[in-house]
Amino acid sequence: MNIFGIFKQNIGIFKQNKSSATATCAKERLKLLVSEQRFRSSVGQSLPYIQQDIAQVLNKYVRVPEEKVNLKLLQRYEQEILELNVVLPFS
Amino acid sequence: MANNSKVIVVTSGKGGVGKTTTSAAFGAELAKLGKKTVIVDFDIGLRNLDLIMGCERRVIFDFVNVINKDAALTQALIKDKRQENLYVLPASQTKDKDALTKEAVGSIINDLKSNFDYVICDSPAGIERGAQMALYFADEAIIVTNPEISSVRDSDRMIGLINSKSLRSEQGLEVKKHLLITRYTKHRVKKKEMLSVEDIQDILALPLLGIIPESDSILSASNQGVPITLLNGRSDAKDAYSKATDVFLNWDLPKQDSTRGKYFKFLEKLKSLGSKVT
Repeated sequence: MNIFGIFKQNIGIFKQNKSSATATCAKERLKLLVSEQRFRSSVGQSLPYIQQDIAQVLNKYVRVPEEKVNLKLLQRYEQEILELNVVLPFS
Repeated sequence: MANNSKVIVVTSGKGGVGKTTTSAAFGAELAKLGKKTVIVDFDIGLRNLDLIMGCERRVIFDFVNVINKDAALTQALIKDKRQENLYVLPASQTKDKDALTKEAVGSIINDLKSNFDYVICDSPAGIERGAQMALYFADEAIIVTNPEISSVRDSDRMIGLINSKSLRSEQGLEVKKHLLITRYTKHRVKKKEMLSVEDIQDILALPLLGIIPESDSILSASNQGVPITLLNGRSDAKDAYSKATDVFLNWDLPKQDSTRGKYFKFLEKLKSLGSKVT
């Protein structure tokens, strides 16, 4: 390190910029990303089971074949939305 | 041997983090320790493992040739000239991903399992067919991760894929996953410029297999076509890979029975006897 480096590190106004300590920033960003990613994949995977369960509940009140019960996971802007579509039989 | 044979996938998601380097290093070290090992290149279209292993001039038949029955597995396997327990199955140069089907790949993996102690699947980067096939038949996985944001995110994604898209997951079984951190630079971590081992483990929640430091010797090794663990001379990366292989092999061994350990075991036994009486 040359003499200017020593100056930069030690003298007040030339002190080494703490903005090079960026690992914390990376960690925070990752924590957020990874928790979102995991939630997304866990709900996505359970979709068929959730759909089955919903069809069962509906069938307590009205006869609906499972094919007419449709559950989708949608991404709208920043939100994730579960969308349910049920085609009811003719009364 | 068929029962004790293990299929290990070396994967990451992110490209360029050290999968092939790791596959070669581990493969060579296991072979050195007397384990019959084959390393399989799962890339589709781009062949890398043969260069890292230094056997590029000896590739005659490849993975897809065997699938298409143009060649027998024994014709395609390349025996390493330095280690008698070490073999390589090179990737195809064709980019026809449809050639790799679960049935075809599964049949080859089974053949390999009956002849080798360890089948190392060197995964390509990404999550496409090659990477999917590499992880599908795995018993265990080495997740190679650089202390860098996109590598960590991709590794997390890969962990999710292994948990949902592997054969073992379909059977309700777990794929044992190990974290291998590569291209680690201690002084940058100290300055908080680079993610630390703890940071990465915090996010990925995987047991640590090893830490491989950034090292000039890695390039030297690949330049010469020598797996780092077979390279002559001293190398920090070589030592780190040796250590990691040791950790890997000793993973399942029960911890040494200490006096303290024995005492606690005795207490547990008393407890269970007590509950039987009541």
